[in-house]
Amino acid sequence: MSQTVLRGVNIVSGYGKLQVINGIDIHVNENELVTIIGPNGSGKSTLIKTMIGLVKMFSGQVFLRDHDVSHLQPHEIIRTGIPLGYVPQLANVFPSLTVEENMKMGFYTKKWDADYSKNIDKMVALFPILGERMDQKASLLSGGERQMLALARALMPEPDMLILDEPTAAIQPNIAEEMLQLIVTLKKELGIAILLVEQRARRSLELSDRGYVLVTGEVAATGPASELLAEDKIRKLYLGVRDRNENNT
Amino acid sequence: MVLFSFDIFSHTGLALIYAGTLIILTIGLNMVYSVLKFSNFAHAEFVTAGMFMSWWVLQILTFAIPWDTTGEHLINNLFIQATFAFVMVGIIGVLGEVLVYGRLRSFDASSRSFTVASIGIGLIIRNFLAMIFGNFPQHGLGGTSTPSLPFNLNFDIKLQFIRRHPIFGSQGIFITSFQLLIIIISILTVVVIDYVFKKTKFGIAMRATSDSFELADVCGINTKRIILYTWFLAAGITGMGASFVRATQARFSSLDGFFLLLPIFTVVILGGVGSFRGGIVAAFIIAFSREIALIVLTEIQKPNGLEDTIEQTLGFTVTFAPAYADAIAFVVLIIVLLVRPQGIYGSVEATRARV
Amino acid sequence: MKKNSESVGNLVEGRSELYIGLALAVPILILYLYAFLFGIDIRGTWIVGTLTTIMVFFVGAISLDLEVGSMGLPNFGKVGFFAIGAYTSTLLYSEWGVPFPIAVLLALLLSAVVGYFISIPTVKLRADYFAIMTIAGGEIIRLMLAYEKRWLWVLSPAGTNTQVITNKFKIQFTGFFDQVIDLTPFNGVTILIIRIIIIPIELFDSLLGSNLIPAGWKVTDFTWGNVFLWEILLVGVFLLISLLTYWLVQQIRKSPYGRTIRAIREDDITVTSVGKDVARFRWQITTVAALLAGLAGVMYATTFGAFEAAEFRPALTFQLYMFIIIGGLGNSKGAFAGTALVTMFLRAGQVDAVKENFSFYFGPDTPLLGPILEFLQLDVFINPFNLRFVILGIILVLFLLFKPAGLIREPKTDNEKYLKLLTTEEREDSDLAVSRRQSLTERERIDEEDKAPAKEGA
Repeated sequence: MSQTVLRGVNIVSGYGKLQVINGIDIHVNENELVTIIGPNGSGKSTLIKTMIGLVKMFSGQVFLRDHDVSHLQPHEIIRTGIPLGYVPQLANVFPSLTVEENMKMGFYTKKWDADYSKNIDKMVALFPILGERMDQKASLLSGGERQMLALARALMPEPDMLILDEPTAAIQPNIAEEMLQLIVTLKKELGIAILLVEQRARRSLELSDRGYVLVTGEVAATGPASELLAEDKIRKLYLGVRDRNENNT
Repeated sequence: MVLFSFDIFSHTGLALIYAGTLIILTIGLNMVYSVLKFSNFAHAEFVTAGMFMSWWVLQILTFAIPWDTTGEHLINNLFIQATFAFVMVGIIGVLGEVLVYGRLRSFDASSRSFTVASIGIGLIIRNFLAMIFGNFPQHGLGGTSTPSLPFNLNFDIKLQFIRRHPIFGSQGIFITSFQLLIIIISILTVVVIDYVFKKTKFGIAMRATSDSFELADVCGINTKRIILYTWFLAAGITGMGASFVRATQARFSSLDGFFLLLPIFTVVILGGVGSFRGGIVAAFIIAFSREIALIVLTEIQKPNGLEDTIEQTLGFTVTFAPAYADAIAFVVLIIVLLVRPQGIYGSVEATRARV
Repeated sequence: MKKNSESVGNLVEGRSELYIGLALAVPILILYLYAFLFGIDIRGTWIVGTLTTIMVFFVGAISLDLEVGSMGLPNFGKVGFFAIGAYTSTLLYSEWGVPFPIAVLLALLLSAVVGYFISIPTVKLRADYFAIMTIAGGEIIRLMLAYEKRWLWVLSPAGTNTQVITNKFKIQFTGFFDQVIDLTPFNGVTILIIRIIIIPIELFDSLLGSNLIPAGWKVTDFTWGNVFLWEILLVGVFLLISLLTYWLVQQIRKSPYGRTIRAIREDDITVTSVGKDVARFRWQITTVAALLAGLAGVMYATTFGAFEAAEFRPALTFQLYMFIIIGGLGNSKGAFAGTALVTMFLRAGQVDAVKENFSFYFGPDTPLLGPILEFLQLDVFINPFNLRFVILGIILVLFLLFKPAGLIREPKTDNEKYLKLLTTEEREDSDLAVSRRQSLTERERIDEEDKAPAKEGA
């Protein structure tokens, strides 16, 4: 049986007095790609921000492997020793730092020694375009390159768990497809558990193992991705597929 | 024959001292500006506090260790004074963050709120210092107050030959070895800080924090602690610099820092926010252009100078007061802001956030 | 339902504002009253002086508030316009013989022109850079005024050239209306009121053995003193000017124009995208604000009679900022409340009786603390002159932290007026539609939208 890497139990959270997440149970197993889909404002980003510690949790618990990381600051979660990568949706690189320094930031909690240069080489092999621009400032990169840099930074500490918040949101469609393929490769080859929030719901469900459908801060449906894809109501509401016959009546 | 009617070496010396002052006092403001992104008007009061603290430790030591009869080794030691000022002013900076700025940040206040808060904090610090140490100008130089060094560095640069030679004027250079040491320390501090900021883990973490608090946090950086360190370093270096400046001045008062505020801001912006080496260049530019303006304006105002000539030919004239030299820094500031807001070495950041 | 809860919320908000206002105002008023009773001999003149000062700074504060509060432009060079207004009006009249009304008009015009030029770089600069640029501009103006001997220095009565400018209009004005108004008839009534006010203080003194009331002081000694006719007239004219300014700024804020400038403050890019010329709004407001600041400068010169360039330091601008932050950004009533309270506080702190009674000295002779202070070589002298600025700084920071909206909050844009244009039926319809939509959950909303095309199809 595969082990659970990240688990959230009955999470309730929000901003100020406004409650956005109304009690959600979620878990990600080893070597598994899990996608969260849902309409705008359903709390997808808030949910993962809560788990990573960026949004204050009202109640509930979050476990990273065996560690209870509920109510910890993000840097405290990172310092539990279980490598974790997180790529936010916006502002996902440090614009005034060079590409190399950005990657160094991914390795911040560890010593910058041999391991570090080994990982840098790996990242350059994975994203050759970043290798050409090591000394450039990240603010000069294009949208797709920034996304790659963000991913490279998250991958630097060789994470067990990768959390991606809409990695394809601001980039061209063809690069977006490449990005999704890359995520699948990462899971297959490195065995990283990945939690993905996606707007391109259908495509990402096709690639993932399991999915959660979030509506108004609650889990509306969950299960293996193939089942979700097959379910009629979900197809209709969230995947943009409409039954032609129904429309024509 | 007299080549220049003014004493070129003495003016050069004055410009160098002024540049050294600006260099070391600029570091702290630049650090706060680049990491925390607001104009900290309370910086002026860090300078004032540094001056008072270095003076205070001199008083305490004079009272506490009377056996140090020469007063040169411990009582009036420049490095003891600088260290004390560093720590005390650093603590003031940290207190400001803990009590005010940190709370403002927690509810995402605008940069205007931070600036106005810094005015309030400046008011509190300045008047508090005045209540404890007195409002009147305090003696800096003269009597036992001249800080001494633990080692003998008493070779004043007099350059007898040049001094006596009429080509160079008649006054001689008024730059002492002590002042030279301070200029060297200033430049060394900038080099060290620049290295820390650019190359070390701590420096990169500081820059990362200035880019995005959230992202830095999820990279494992304790941003709150980084900000506290930033304040301690920024305020501390300013306090240390102020203790040097006090040592070169004849007297000081609780308003001294405030008068230095705008030239310091000019140097930060001219050099480029976030660029400490740019600060050195900018400080020299400001100091020398001030001195040159002083010379030129003095020349113009002399009898039969340009001012008189204009008066005679046009029938009216305006005053070319040498005191206008003080405005040079401000004019440079405005021109730089309008022409090249990112400064000499500044990065291309969004200076045009407005429509 | 919704409406009800909202009004309750406003009430609670309003009440907390009232409490904070009282907590600030009551101590200041008590201090002021204390200074008034025990520290001042010519009380009438003192009160009149406070009123004129408040009105001078009120006009200045309202002009700053228009720029900072409504428009969001952090102008830190306001003091430069004060100086321009004061110098132009005074010099034109006193030295060049220009009739006073024309001199004032020219002063306002010059302020407005300079304000217009200041507005040009606002398009280019980030707000914090703009702040520094304006503070530098103000300093340049001050230095020029201080050292321009040929044009801006005047002959003093002693025959030397001096940079202290005397306002001849003020001298003539005071000379012309120098009739003394005797306030003694009011003494009787006032003493009666004071007798009542003083009872709790006397009680306090007798119980605790303190001497808040100075030993030799008697209620019957109270006199208002004399007031000159010109003082009364000056207050009257200033009141008129203040009311006019207040009305003008209120008109600007209430109009659609005012809504646009508030929108620019919140998000200038959006305003541009709906086709408004943001730069135009910026220069218009900056120019109007500069004109008002010039007016305040004219009032300043007329109030204080003689002044010099050194008075127009950035500290004066900072003081104006204090007024509007404490009072509340973006509304003129707040500007008045802040100006009045802070000015009264500062003036009360200058009175000798307050200085003596609120001064404490801690030195090596002090019991208990003495040895420590001796070791630390400290002579701590808590004096009202500095203490009042420490207190002001603390009040300012506390307001920024806990009450960023200030004493009086900026009024929300009122939509009632526009709703009144609709018929009753239309209003009910729109209310219904809004409440219905609000009551739906996200899921229901999606379901409903899903049904809509089907309905059309059927």
